[in-house]
Amino acid sequence: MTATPLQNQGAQTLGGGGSTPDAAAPGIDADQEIIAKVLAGHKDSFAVLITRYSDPLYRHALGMTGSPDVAEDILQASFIKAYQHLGEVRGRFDAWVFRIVANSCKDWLKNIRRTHVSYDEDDQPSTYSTPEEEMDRNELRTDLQFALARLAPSLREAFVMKHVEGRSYEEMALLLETTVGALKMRVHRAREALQQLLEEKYA
Amino acid sequence: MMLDDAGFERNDKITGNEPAQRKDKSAERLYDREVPLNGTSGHTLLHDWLDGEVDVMRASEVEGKSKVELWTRINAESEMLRRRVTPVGVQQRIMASLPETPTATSWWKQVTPVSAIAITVALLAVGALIIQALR
Repeated sequence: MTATPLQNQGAQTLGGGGSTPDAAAPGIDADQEIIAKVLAGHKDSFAVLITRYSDPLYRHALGMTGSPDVAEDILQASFIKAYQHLGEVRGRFDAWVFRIVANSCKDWLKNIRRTHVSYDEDDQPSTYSTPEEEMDRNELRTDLQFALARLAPSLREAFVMKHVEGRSYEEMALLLETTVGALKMRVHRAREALQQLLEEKYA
Repeated sequence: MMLDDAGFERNDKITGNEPAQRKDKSAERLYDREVPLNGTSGHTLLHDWLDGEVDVMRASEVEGKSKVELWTRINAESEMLRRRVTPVGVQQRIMASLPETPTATSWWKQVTPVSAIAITVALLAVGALIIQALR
């Protein structure tokens, strides 16, 4: 059984949290089996794929849009689209569904042209040790998102995948169907742009 | 500070249908290019450090302490985001909104190039046999 980039990421970052035992060590073969079940009429089996991939896909949508509400909507629409076109999956399901989400995020960014973003729309618990530290980091978070919103979608995507999702360049190349060299260049460009935008205040 | 608005053009009327109003073309190009501009995007130790290829001390010596501190803070913030999980109830909501059955794939989408060639050859052969029989 071969592990997939999205699952590896989920396992690294979640430590199995929020996943079912079935999702603990899944792989491409397991995905194909589930797809076959769903296509044979077992609709409930699709829940396994959702459980397996929703966290990394949600993080990608959140990183790209900056809005928990929008990220949820994109995740939902993407899984519905994936379900409706499940019979057309060729190759890896994880890479295929990732591209649906990634394209949806880029479409959203193009259509909305939103520059103000905030992660504060939901009620994730605070993990800061002191109120001062929380204020300090909230300010950086806001400034970082504001700076990210100024990047071109391809640069933002590369930065989010590398820094927020913690992927290797090889994983990114597989998911985005491009070369490691091109992705390194995008990440470097994104870092330089962000640094230029932030260093006046923070460096 | 010049800002890049490529794809994010600030528009006072955010209707989604308004034409884009690009305010600073030079800045837009700065952040939208993958090919480095002169004087920017050189391969630096900062990138090597951020890619895990050199240690922080070396990066700090060459690139300066302030840049390394800034990226340490950015990385810490990124780590926080990396722990985010799908909000409770979203997975159930997705399942509830699925249609009853997946749309069946059109038969013509399942035809591979090889099978298309095989079908064509077979049809030609049948056609040739019919023509021969009629003569």
